[in-house]
Amino acid sequence: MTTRSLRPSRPLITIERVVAALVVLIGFGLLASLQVFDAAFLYLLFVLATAFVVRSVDVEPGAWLGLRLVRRALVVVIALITLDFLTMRTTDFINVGIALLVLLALGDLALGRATRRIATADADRIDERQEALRNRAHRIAYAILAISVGLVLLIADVATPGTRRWLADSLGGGGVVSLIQLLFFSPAMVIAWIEPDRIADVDGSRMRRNLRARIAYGMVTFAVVMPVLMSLSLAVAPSRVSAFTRPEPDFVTPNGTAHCSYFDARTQAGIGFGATTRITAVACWDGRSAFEEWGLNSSDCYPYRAEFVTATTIECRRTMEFDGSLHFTYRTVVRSAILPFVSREVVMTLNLTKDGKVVQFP
Amino acid sequence: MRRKEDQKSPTADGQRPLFNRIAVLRTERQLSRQQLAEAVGVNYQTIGYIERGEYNPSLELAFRFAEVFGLPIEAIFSRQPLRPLSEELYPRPPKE
Repeated sequence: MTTRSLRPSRPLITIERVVAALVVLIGFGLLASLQVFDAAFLYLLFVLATAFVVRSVDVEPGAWLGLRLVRRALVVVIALITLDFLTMRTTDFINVGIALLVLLALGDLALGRATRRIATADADRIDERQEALRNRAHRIAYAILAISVGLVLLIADVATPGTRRWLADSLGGGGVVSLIQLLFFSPAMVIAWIEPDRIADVDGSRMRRNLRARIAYGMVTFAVVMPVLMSLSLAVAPSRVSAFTRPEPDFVTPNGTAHCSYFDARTQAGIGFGATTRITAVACWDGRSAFEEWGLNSSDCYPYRAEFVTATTIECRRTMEFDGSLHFTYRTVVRSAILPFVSREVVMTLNLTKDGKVVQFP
Repeated sequence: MRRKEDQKSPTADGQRPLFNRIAVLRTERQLSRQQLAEAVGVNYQTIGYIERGEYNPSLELAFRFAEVFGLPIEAIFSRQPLRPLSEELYPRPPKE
């Protein structure tokens, strides 16, 4: 028997392929609308290439999701997305929530395939071992859910006013998504975690360790690990700052001649999945005071680029001091959308004296 | 020296493992796991888990195995490690 005969031939256009193509198109559209077309676009291309290589490996259908390692990785990814929704603010939910919701739905679909939907199957569709497994998974899942939800509610309600506020907010935002996910899918997650490697019908046909299979393994591992590493870079890698100034034409004011400069600075946080914040402005000085000609307004405080992160502006302030100097501060918190506990504060400042001396930039 | 089967760990649900000859009997009759699974009315994964001692079948299922193989239950399942069939047919002469 040749290995090729393990995969039954299928028509070119199937309902699964049409749905998959639609999902990919919607994913591209969402990414484009979120202005995350650089690293995210390349990553999506890599995922598609990985899917193509994985499909080309001759194995029994369903073999990949039959591996416990793959199933456990899937559970970890779903758990991270669920955690992400739990800690997400309403504004972030609007920005990255849809993309994460699509990811979560895809993860749940894969989870269903990996566990053969044992968690929700009727008794007449499964055998006695699967029934015992389903019952055990329900016991474990809902015991964990009851204890964890109970503890979170208890601690959040008695800890600080901040945690009570979080509790009230989470009921209207991503917290509901997390709760629904855990209520309906935690038994399937438990089954995916505890069930051993699936066994082949014919011995030796499950997964052949040839070169293509090894490459496929490597690509899958890379596709799973890379977003995590890129998200961690937000906390680990130093911020990269670039700035320049150039003179602008002078002009006459009631106080005399004003000299002007164009200021442009960028701060990049994270590698690949991160954010770039930017200040662009023309500021002038005439010996009595420094002032902006354009820029340095509250409408300028938004991230120039944000990929798989949420950037929340916590300070955007322009002040003119008594000594005539101009101060502008733009402070934002960049938080990973994949690992919500990873964040970095980025501060950009322009301090310009009335004599045109740049004290701090950026 | 103790044989490998003697050191089997408990099944996933914590039960004592049950030793069996299903893999040998299946190979002898040239049945795939899928074919045997259809004959006894379970998923083929369950056959694999029973063969590996990771799941103990119910009495009902054990009887169905006995019917399919045409053997008494005690020839298929045992609480004690099973000797190879060839050894049972042709026991080794005791060492002098």
